[in-house]
Amino acid sequence: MVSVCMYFHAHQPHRLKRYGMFEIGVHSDYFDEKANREILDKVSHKCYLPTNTLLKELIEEHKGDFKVSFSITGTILEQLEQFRPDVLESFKELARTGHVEFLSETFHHSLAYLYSKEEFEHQVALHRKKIEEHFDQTPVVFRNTELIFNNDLAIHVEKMGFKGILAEGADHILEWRSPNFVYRPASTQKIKVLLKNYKLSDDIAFRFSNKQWEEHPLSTEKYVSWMNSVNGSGELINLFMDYETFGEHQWEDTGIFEFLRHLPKKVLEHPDNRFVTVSEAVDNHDVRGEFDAHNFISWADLERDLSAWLGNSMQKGSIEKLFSLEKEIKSSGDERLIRDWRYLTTSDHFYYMCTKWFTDGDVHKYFNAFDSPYEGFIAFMNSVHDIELRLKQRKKER
Amino acid sequence: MLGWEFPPFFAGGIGIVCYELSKALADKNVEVTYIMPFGPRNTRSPFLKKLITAENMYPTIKVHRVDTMMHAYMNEETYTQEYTVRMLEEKTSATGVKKQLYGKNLLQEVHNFAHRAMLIAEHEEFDIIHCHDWMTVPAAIGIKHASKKPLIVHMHNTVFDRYLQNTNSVEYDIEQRGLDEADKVLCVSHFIRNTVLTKYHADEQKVGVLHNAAQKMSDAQVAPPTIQAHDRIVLFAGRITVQKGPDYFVKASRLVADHMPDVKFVMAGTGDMLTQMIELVADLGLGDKFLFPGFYTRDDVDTLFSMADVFVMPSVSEPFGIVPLEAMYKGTPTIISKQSGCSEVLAHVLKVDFWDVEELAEKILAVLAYEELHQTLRSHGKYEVTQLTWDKVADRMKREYEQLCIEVKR
Repeated sequence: MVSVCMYFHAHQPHRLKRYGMFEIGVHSDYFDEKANREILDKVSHKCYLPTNTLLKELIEEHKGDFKVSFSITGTILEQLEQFRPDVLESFKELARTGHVEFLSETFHHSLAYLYSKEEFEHQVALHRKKIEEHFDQTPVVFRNTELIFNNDLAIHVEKMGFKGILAEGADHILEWRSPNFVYRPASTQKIKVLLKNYKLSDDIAFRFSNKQWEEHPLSTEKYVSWMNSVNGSGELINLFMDYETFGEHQWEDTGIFEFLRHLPKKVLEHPDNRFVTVSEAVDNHDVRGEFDAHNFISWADLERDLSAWLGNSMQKGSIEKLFSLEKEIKSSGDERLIRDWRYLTTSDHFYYMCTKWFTDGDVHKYFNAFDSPYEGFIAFMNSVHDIELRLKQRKKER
Repeated sequence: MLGWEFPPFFAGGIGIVCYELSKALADKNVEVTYIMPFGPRNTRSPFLKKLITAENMYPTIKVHRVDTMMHAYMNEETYTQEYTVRMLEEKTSATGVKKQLYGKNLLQEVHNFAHRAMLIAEHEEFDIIHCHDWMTVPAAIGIKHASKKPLIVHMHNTVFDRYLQNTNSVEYDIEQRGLDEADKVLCVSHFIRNTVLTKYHADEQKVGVLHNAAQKMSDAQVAPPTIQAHDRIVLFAGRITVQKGPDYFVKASRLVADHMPDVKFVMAGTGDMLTQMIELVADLGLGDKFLFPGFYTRDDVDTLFSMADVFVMPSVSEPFGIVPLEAMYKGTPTIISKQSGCSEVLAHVLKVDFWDVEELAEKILAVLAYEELHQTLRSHGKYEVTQLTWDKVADRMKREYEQLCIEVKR
């Protein structure tokens, strides 16, 4: 029996403007509302709306035999509430089918776990509230930002009450073992880890439209035959990818929607196959081994580590500076100030400052809101300095 | 190769380019016969020894010097000035014999050079003619007609960069002829290629881009000699002419000084806008913040970059711009205008539009204020330029030569 667990990650950050040094103390509008809104509109049109519609059709057509899971960040939900209630409604409709599960994560898609356990737990709680409010369910499986994971995180998350956690099926940890089983994170008692099958996931997310790829064009038949070949040597295939894969990273004319449309039927043609959500994957499968990640892993780039966010001194310096203000920000009682500070914890800001262009450059450039990592750093630091100034003024006022 | 000497003082990049390219080609066993304008001015050059050494070190480089008064970046005006001075000197020394040697104007001198270069070429064996910039074009065309060998014209700039608004029809015509006669045109940037295609209507097929590379420099850090240690230093270095945008630098400096104490600005170099810049600095009340060390030599470059916290090149027109590469080599964070040709190959610098004084000031302040930015630009910038080697340029050049030779045989 092979279970297929698909989870889609939907996220949009509050992108920063090129907030200049001469603006510090003059105004505090760091965020590029116009660009954020335009991008949200574009992605809604190309991806969220058509894919939500398609998924709903497929769930109805297969009467619940087809099901999916979502990781949807607080920052995108906030933006949808404000600018695109229609898109939010279409996510809610999906939730109401009863065959869609929502994962837990940090509200702000942040790296908070690495810098403040207190802030981390707070952001997870904020996110839970948001999911409960919109989708009427409470997440039981946790996914950290960009699948950043290590043993200590699993221990921490287990204590917070989660029964499952997601991670990258990193080769250097699995070695000869397969990602297609459920594992137990080292030093944990009950929590199970679901590992991304990065080969099959990236076939869709990254390679689907690549004409240089020897398997191009990828038909649903061919793809499902690869999945079926897992039967006998694995129990669970975790296909984890950005939701924006559909229609945004892989444009409609690549045939990605047609691929998705035929996928459930082809998978279910094999009597041993079935779809599961993340909590079903955790419940239905026994632990087959230990997953021991002493150092942090992630799903980013070839390194599968933290270097995309914390690889250079600009990234480390700016995030340390931000978290050095945490206590004072929180005790200020200034809601707007706290909100702006939290927006800045979003990992994307640090991703934009990445300078390891020499191998993964193309991906970083594609996703960069700035012309260069240096511009990203300057805008971020200027914003933090204005926040610091506001903090000082606030203290004076008291 | 019809190129230029290694400049006696830091007068611009073309001499360096010719020198580095020839050396790198020699390392790849390409035999270079180098015809070099070499005039009275150069006998005083402290670099004379260096050149002779280079010649001996590379047996595959054979240098012919042609006695001429023309040198790189000259125009009719500067030629006439030098010619007049020269004539006065001749009169006072009362020899008077050499007077006939130099042309009365630059165009005449360019043709004199062509004539002498052709005489030299008659006795040389070669497969390719490779010339640099307009002054050597008539010589190159003459040699091409006599020898029937293919011609590469290497474009380091065009009349539109040298004169900005006003054009010079004499120089334009010579460039046009060079581009028409060339079998292959190599431009130092896409920016120049674009000019060559749109303003000279050159055949797109034969025009390529060959970016310059970085010259190896010593790793030694020179201790700042005079300026106080707690002052941060912002450096401008280059010809102080309208092309280099010195006025934007001064205006940005005013904004920087308003926001940060203990910053000093150094404007090194000389040029026809120097006086104007000194006046502008005074008008903006920056007198005590600015230093004008004037003319600087190659050796001074090390010191300048070592003491600077940030180097700025706000060029209005910069076909390539080799100075930022030198600054980065010395680990100095660098800001360049987006209009510079080198901006096409550099990622680890900050880029601004030359006219955006406020943005330039913002970026200078950011480099001075944020240590992590300074550090990252410093280390990544240095790494980036060490990857831009003349060896790679010479590889490409050699392939171009071989390709042309094959095409000719057909």
